[in-house]
Amino acid sequence: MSSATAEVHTTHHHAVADKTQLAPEKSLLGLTRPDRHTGWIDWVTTVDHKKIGIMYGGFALLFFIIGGIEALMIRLQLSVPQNDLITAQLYNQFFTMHGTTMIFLGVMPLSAAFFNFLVPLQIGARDVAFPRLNTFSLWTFVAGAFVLNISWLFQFAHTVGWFGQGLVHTDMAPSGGWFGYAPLTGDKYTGIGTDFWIVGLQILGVASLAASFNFIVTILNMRAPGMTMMRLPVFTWMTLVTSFLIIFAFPAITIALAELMFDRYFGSNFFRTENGGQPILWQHLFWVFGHPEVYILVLPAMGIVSEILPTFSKKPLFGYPIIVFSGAVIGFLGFAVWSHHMFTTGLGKVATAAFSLLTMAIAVPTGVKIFNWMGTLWGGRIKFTVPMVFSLGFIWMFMLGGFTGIMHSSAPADAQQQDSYFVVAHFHYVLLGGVLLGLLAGLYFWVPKIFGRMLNQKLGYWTAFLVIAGFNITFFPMHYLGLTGMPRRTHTYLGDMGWNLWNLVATIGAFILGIGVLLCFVNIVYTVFKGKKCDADPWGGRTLEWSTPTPVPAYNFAATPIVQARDCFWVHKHGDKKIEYMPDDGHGIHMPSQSWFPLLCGFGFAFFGVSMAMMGAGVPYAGYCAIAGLSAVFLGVYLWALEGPGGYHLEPPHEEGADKPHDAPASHAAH
Amino acid sequence: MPSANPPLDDQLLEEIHADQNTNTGIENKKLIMWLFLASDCMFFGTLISTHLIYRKLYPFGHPEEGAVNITGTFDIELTSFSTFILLMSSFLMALAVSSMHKGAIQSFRNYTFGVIIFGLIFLAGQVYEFQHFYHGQGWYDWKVSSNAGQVIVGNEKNKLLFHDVANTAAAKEGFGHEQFGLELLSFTPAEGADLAHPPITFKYEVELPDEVGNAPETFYGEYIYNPTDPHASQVVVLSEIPPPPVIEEAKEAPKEEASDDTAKADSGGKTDASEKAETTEEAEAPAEASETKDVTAAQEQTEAAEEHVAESTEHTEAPNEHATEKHTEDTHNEAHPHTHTPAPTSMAEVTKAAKETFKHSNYGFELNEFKQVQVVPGLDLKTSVFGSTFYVMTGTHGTHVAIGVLWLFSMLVYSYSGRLTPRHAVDVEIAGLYWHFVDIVWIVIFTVVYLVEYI
Ligand code: HEM
Ligand SMILES: [Cu+2]
Repeated sequence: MSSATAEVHTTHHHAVADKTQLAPEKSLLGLTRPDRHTGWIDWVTTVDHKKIGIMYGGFALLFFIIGGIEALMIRLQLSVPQNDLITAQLYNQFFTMHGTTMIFLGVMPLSAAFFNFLVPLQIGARDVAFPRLNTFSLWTFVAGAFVLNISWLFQFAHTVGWFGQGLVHTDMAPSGGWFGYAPLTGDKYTGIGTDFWIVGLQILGVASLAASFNFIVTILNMRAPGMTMMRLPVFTWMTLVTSFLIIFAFPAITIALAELMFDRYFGSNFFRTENGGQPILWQHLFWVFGHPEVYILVLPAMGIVSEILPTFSKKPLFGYPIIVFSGAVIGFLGFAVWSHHMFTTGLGKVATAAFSLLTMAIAVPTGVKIFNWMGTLWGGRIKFTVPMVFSLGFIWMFMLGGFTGIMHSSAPADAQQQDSYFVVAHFHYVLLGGVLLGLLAGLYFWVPKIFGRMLNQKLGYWTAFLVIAGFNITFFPMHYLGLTGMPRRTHTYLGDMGWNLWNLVATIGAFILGIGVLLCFVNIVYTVFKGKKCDADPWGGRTLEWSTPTPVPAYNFAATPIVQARDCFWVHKHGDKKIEYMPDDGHGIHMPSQSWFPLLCGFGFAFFGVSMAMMGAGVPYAGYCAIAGLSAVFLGVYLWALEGPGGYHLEPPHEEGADKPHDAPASHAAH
Repeated sequence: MPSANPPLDDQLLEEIHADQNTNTGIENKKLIMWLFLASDCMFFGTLISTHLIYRKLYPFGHPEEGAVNITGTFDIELTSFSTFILLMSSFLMALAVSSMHKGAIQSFRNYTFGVIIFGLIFLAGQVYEFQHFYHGQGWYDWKVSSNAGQVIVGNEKNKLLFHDVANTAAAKEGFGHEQFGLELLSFTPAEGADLAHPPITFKYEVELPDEVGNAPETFYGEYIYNPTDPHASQVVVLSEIPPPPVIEEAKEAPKEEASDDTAKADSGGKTDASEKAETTEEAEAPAEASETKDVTAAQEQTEAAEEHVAESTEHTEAPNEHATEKHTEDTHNEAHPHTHTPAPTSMAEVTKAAKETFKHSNYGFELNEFKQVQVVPGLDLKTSVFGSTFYVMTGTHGTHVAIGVLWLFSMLVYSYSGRLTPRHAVDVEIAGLYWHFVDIVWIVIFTVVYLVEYI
């Protein structure tokens, strides 16, 4: 077996695969199983993790733009003192939707896009463990995003006088902040915007949970022979840790939201202070979820950076086991620090001290990672490609955010910083300077693999410059604003507070940043359709995904690879341990059939969500519609269980006379 | 019934093949179920912690005393029984899984059927419990009498669902619907009754509710039925009803006329007298609230009761004196508009119609007095923190059980249609995992939510 094998499978992807149906497709509910492999029906019913990943990415970019516009509105309003560009209520809606959108509809789905596209490829699998569940996650996410954002339309309808004129509360879009503190989000203080928010987040929670179950099973169970846990690419490792964080953290917020929902719809007393409900309970439940959530956001970006740095330093990742281990430790400790968001609520001395110490402790594994990344760069032959520039930006900016994090891990200091612009600066350094830069690095790195076309590099450098510069111009002054007392979530301020200059600077920076991000998205969209074609391994990649042809065929690997080393593709190309392939078992590649039912569930959820909010607004029959929506979801799940995975066989193209995958020695099949 | 296994098709082989090759050796389906259960632990953990936090924070289950009476509300015997049933269902589930592994599809069906039935019993228990808790419990003193003066007094502790309510007005209405607990034992045409010569006389026998203080177990009389104008029919109570006993039935004088729905009572509840009571006759009686167990209170009560009895004797004197005489009474106002009834054709039909009107006239009795003496307030989402946390938590669990029942039911059905065969043993095993988990969660809830209330 020689490198010729890899050649075979990287060059003959374009040959038309031979498709044979495995079992007659049943028709349930008059819905024949879709077997189209072109056109929009293919996209909406697909079970291919790569297409799902691309759709996740597309939606994420869309919501980044929406969230970005909301951010710019906030900055415009704050550019000068006593501005009356937008009302206080609209301002509240903008920052609430901005935060919610960026976290749940921007960063998480973009991470999910990478999970979907990369994880099966990186572990040498043909798909995720549950392909239809994956489709379900996608459409459920889209439904949740739809429910959240449709609230703007109702807000518009209300403003022009078409809807909800009789309602007490006039906020049709969420306005209670991304952490929705109860009882502020109770029915006494906020309107149906909160209903949209509650139901929307619950639906998104279902999507995240389903996806996480799927990825954990995929990573634990579907690795190619020889792909031991300690040979997993770090990105896959971080996906695994993130998925575990999701399955343990999301229940807390789901239940908190359900409790709030019962308070609002059925008059229960979970957070009804006049009947003994405790606002602090909400805070605990929210942050038990909320702090792990920040690691859910950042770990995938850390994984991406851990892939890019070694590639462009031409060195293996420094201290791989330690990077993996510190990621897992961050995951564990992430559940033990939530109360640092609540230092000023009066937890008591012991609790405050304990959470203070634990918060400082969590900076340790984070710091370890940073040192490992520096160790990777050390002595490497560094190539400053666009992904590399973004990754270096990530390390630097994320570190600054970490510093301020350690500053407010000290409870007395936090008493000064809490709810001021200092905190805003902190979490934007970690989230934007950290996570977003990491994700952009990932886009520049993997878009050539996904679409087979190279992003425009020159534009890329410009983007990196604009984003990093604009970001610092926007958020660095916020440290100062916060320390001089500018409160967070204020829709305007007086002119004599000494905040005028830096607010204006921040607004200008925000527009620079906005232009940078937009440029990046334009670059991507242009590239997808018109970009310069590139080969399957343009960067000199290290992991299995680069060993597949580009664009990646539906079955990913014509024959399952047998992995013999960490960074196996790199070793395959430059070392002695070559990738081998499992023998052909003679009956083609089994592919799962597509399905309508995940899409039906998505529609059900969307209908349910909007109906719930309408029920909150007192629209007649909305309650029945909500039940109908939920029934559609149940029906979808039931029918999908009945329909079974189905499947058909694909014959991978073979090159006559060339090395066939099946002459891989059988002994290599065992780990 | 397909009992023989159909041959393996390609697709199945492929699946089996794929699952055996997982890196962990655990089938994908099973692993995802474990993960789901891990996550579900957090769901229930959050719900149970919410409940316990509030429980600890509010010793009365609510900031104010009296909004709930937890041990008074709980029916621990019933819940223990349900818990036992659920536990046994888990046992059956384990048997079902192992039969499927052995390929014994018929015993799989039997056991699964058992699990479904037990699950349904548990759910029925929960529905009953919720209903029961929601309505609360009330204990009432009541008095019914015929117009001619026979009086029955009682202490309604009726176990019937709709009586068992904290709300006096609702309890009273329910009591009326149930004919004051009177039960018709027999209803037959009297000797010589003749269709052609109305009115027709029927003999009847009625049983009294159990906890009635003064009356014989049964009493009898005559019902003189007027087929052309049923409203003009007459009831004649023939048997003797002794005077009401003097002390046992007395509780206390009512405090005030109650009309609002939310019954508020002391949280002690079990023996406390209600602040809310309703009576038709004794509205001006002195208001006092006292505890029956308290000695002085008991004395006061005895006095009050004597007064009460003195009053009631006035009413009951007449029937006692003339018990052997025939007393007739009009069940309804004579001037009641007549409904035209078609001429009856057979005796059986007339008997049926007469029985119906007799029943609607409450066997000739009318409710004179109905007052609450003790109450356990109804538990709902709105009135207390305990109610909120309790219903949402147990309701979530009940939803899990219901989904499990549906799942197993589908499996049972598909085992008959041939879709589910011993080769799908792993599917059954997964359903089993789910079922055991739901059961374990219930054990936890039963312990930390129900049982701890009794220590
Ligand atoms: C060195 C590690 C970190 C430490 C010690 C730390 C510490 C803290 C503390 C103490 C707060 C509460 C500040 C306050 O509200 O007064 C906070 C807020 C926050 N942190 Fe961090 N943090 C760290 C890393 C991160 C990361 C990696 C992210 C996200 C990727 C993040 C996102 C946030 C967010 C979003 C908030 C604000 C939440 C809100 O109030 O809306 N942090 N951080
Ligand atoms: Cu935190």
